[in-house]
Amino acid sequence: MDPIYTWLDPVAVRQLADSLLQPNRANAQPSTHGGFDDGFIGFEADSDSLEIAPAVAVVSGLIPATTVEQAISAESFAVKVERFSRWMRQQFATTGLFILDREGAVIFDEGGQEYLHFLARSMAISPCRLGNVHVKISAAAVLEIIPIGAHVLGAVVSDALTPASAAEILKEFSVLA
Amino acid sequence: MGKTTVSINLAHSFARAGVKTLLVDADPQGSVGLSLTRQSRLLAGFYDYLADPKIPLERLIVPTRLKTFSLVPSGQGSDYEAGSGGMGAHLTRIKAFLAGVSAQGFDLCLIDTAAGLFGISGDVISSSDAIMIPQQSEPLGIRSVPKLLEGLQRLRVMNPRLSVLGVCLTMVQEDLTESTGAAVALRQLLPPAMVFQTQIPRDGLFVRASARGLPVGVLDDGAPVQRIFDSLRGEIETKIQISGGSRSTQS
Repeated sequence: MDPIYTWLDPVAVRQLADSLLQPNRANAQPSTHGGFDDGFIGFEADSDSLEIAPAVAVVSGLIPATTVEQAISAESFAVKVERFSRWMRQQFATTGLFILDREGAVIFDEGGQEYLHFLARSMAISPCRLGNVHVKISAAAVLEIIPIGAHVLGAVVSDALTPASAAEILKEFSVLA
Repeated sequence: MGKTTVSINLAHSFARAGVKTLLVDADPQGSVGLSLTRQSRLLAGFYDYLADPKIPLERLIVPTRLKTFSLVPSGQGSDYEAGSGGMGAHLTRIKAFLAGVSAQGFDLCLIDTAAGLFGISGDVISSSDAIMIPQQSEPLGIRSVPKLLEGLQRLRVMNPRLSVLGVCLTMVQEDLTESTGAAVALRQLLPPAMVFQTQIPRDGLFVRASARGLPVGVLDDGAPVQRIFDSLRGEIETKIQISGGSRSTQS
């Protein structure tokens, strides 16, 4: 009888279990950023984010994944994303910005936000959520997660963004394409 | 017989050993309350505390005949029967609850949650020091363990201090090949430290005990099964320090 092994990858499961038995790196390392300290209070109410769902669909449609991937591979992408990052700082006072693909690969990270990547991707691909999601990550910082086509945009801001602001970001992001 | 039976009898074992223990029923079905006392179903409890900030923790704590063993029933919060509420919605209130438990001088707060890692159960895990995973020893249930481990990895992003104590096999039937085979397969699959050596057998004593509203160890012939839970307690004590500091463990 083989009740388990035909259903899973034993090596991958073993690695996962081993990692869970280790002390968490995020816990062991002294935090030098505004991560999940005592100020972390969880997800803010995001009922408004449903309002943005149509906007996400529309804008996402305007930026098909293949188009964004082409843009990312273009030489001028670094210039464009830097301009986008500057615009984000000016408009929303972001203190950190990153872009991931849906597999979690880092396309852009300004400000060393690695500790937020896993959370952002997990939230972005959650089938229970539509539109932007905001997570209170410390007393003075919110991680805004905006799924864009096949990518995930994460922005660290002081206050949760409104659906209108998220739609504005989606529109500006389309310039990258 | 699964996580609720483990929760009740493990909490009782800690309490017998002198650890001031609070067992919290955070399962919307209120199984701890159903198992122990009929009256506890009428009391305010954990879900009422989450819903109403005016309810003090002291009102929820139900003492037992064992001085070191107290309960918090699930309560009357019927809105939560389906485990409603998005994840994170109750995090602040749950942390306040645990802070209150610590202030009351409990050494251990053992929380019996609903199955799954989302909703209020997710918030409890995100606020706890450690998690133990009771798992029925049968093939279908064990196939879900990898998914559960993946979910725990996500939750550790939100709660980096969470210790994963491991999987405790329950309802092991020595006379059933599928049950023992599933237990062996899980032990081969996971690192030894991830599976408790102690495993809980399927035993008619559990049915008799819950029918009388008692932990198994209180029954006249419950001593052998009580020793199993004492063994489980011993394994947990090697993994986390409990006496001398309040710990919250979710199962």
